[in-house]
Amino acid sequence: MPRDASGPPRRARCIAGVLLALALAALAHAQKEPPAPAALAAQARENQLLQFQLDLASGKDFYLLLDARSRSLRVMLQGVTLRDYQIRELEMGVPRVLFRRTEPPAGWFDRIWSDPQLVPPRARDRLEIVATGDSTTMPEPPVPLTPEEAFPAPPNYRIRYAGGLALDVRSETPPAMLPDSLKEDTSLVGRLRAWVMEARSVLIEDERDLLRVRVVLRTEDAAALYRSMPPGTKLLVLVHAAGS
Amino acid sequence: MAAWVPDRRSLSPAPPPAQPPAPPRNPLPPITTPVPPARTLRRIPLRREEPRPRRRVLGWLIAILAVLILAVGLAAVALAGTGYAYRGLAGTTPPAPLKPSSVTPEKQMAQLRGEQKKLQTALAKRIPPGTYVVIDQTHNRVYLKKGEEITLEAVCSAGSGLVLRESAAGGRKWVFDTPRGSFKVIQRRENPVWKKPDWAFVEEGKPIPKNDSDRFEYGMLGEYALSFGDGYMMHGTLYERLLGRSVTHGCIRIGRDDLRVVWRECPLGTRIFIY
Repeated sequence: MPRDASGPPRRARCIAGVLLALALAALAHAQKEPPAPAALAAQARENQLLQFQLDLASGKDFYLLLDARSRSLRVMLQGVTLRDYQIRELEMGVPRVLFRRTEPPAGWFDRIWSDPQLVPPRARDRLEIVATGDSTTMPEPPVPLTPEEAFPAPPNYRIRYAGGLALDVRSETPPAMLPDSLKEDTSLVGRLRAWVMEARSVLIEDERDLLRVRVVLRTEDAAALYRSMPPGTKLLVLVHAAGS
Repeated sequence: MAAWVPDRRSLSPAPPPAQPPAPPRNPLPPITTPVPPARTLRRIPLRREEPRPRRRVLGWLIAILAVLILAVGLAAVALAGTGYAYRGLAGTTPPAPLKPSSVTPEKQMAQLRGEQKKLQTALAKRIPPGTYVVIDQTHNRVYLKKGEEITLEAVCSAGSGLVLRESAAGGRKWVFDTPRGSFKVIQRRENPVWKKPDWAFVEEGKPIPKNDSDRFEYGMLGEYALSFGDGYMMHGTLYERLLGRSVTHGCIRIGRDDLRVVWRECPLGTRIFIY
């Protein structure tokens, strides 16, 4: 019976393949370095942020989740996204007196901010109807207002949280329709006044924000957030560790 | 009449001038200090004194102006340096919340990753598995969502926010707000009949019926009603032209076609989130 000519080379190829695989595995193992402390810290930070989110999702309060990485601002309740706003610009500001900056409050990214206050406040005029007991003299129900009419939103506003952080929300462009009281004065005097007011707010303790997180939103989004943000909405700023 | 007699003394010739003292016998050259001519001495002070008051005032004015300019400049510089200094968040690196551990970094990383998976799973479990409803009561919008995907966006009507008082003297008071928070569909009804509550009669200025059968109204709630507690419902409406406006007594009114989708997609227990 003729001997199979391909026998020995096939076996040799198999052995060579196995050896090569072993060598590659050994090389890969040798090259695998232990994780750097920075990588461990970044991972720990991610876990910490997840834990914060889980804590908020377990509660009954509404909360805002500001993700610095994905540039999104989400209105959440129990882990469910109710509304997602895309952030166009994101900055943080600290008070500065005579060119001297102050440091942001320690651990500001490691906490959940609560007890918010809208500045300027969202006013709601409730109409009150007093029943007369007589169908012929009952007042006609008023013409219902649109949300834009009921809650006119300023182009720029702040959500100030207890503890010193303020979310400074800015519209990308000034809204087309605004009552005069909410219009931004773009004249030189108006700008100067705004400048002085800004400086004043730094100098007066009650008005000072220890840290401002400024977000620029689409004009409709900024207005929508102002109108519809539920009272008591908390805030968590997701600042991820560098390199994570 | 007495004749005028001139006074002789006044007419007498003036006495001769006194003779200067005789020069000393041994004359030395006199020590003389150069004295400017009398004319110069008299005129120079006059020229200097005349414009002095004006120049002094001008000088003061310039000084005050300079101080003012300096003060304004300093204030402007101070103002420019006072306010809020902004920078990107990208440079903000939080300190590592890593606890010292005796295990190797590889093991530590494996533990952290395991913990991360657990947290992610727990967080994902918070999102309702099927369809859920999100209602923006301010903008009168209702959304059906599956996960993060929006499967329906519809116009609705939410609470008007009106306050109704039973009488001027007091009595009961109702606030027609839609509640905010998390709810569940607890009852589904086809062709629902509305059992009018007291406020519906008070609002119309009608007496509150004593008999329950006088409270029933047919067709007001549309084809379907999905209750989510405390008398609040998602239901249809006869007044579709008012959709998009806050006109209800707290319920969510939805147009006929959209309500059919909501009815089909939302079984009992469906989560409703209203903000």
